[in-house]
Amino acid sequence: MYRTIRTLHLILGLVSSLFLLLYAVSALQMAHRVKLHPTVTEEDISLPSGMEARPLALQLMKERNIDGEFGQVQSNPSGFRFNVTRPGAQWTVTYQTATGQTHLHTERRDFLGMLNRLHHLNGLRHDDQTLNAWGWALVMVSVGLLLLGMSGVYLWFRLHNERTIGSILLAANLIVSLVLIVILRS
Amino acid sequence: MNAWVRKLHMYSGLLNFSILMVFGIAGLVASANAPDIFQRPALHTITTQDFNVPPSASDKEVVGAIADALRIRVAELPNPQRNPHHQLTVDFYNPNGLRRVTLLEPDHRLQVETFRNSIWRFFDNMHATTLREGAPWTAQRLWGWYIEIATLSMIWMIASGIWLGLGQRWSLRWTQFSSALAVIAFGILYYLEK
Repeated sequence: MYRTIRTLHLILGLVSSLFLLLYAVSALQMAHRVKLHPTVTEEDISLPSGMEARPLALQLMKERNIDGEFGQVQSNPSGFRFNVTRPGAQWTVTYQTATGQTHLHTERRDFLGMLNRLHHLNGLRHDDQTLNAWGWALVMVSVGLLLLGMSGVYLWFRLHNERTIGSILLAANLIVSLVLIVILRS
Repeated sequence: MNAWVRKLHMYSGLLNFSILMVFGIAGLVASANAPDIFQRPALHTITTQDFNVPPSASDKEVVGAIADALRIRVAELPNPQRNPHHQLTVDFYNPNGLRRVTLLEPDHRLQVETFRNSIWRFFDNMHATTLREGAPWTAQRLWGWYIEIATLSMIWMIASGIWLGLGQRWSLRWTQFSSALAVIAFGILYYLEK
């Protein structure tokens, strides 16, 4: 049993390692508000007038190598605006219905920006299957993290020499965190 | 050296065990898209209480007075807004949810609308608490510090775990397979999301 759990801990740890590193680094970026530096480009395009938002988005996706999730459409007096978003980039399309003039604002995220967006990416019901793939990876890494913690406690407990100091550390952790959780939940 | 790396890897895990559980739960809560306070609050109450606005106070000062009256301690006062009835409103968020306060100025009262999270969204919010939140020495700030320490510990555990796994168990097929799977899976997904 010990060897099985130890092998499981090894496999889960290695397979999850890069994902967990992503979450940890992006967490620090957010906690300390490390500035992100996306690359921004602006472009004006002429398109047919009188288009609706979704067909317009589909046309741009085909012609302009835009890919991602189609966001909420915001109407304005002259037309509408919407975003197409994926972790690596965001396109903001501003369309004037009467003239077909379209402004395309493209933001391509830098490495930390990409980590930031991947940290927030979740869910299994996106239209874009690549986003769902990341959602499934998150599920597996989350389950993996829970199993890593529990298997780690088991592995520690089997080391008789480490039981005293380990018990103190685990007890300190549980007491402090439970007290804070109870206070914050009340 | 490996013995010490293993010890410190183990001690880090024990010291941060509960927060690692919170991180794992938060990932599952987000994946399951558990309802939030606006979709399905665990509790939604509206109460009122007496409150007098100092006649020459600015909106920001009024927010501070509201926080004092409700005994809310925050690192930074939220910005007030005006609702369609031109009443001052302010949102106080915490891991439990939201307290939306509306100043009923002519009546000298405060309306406090409380939206309370489910326990699952509470854990999700707890995982996202940073050390900038909560007034100093409040439970929220202390938890934020604990999250910071746990995040740094997690980076240590990942690095030391990779060191121990690859250094001491490279000959195992499982180690080689897991390492390859990690790099390939992460690499492909990162490329696809870019």
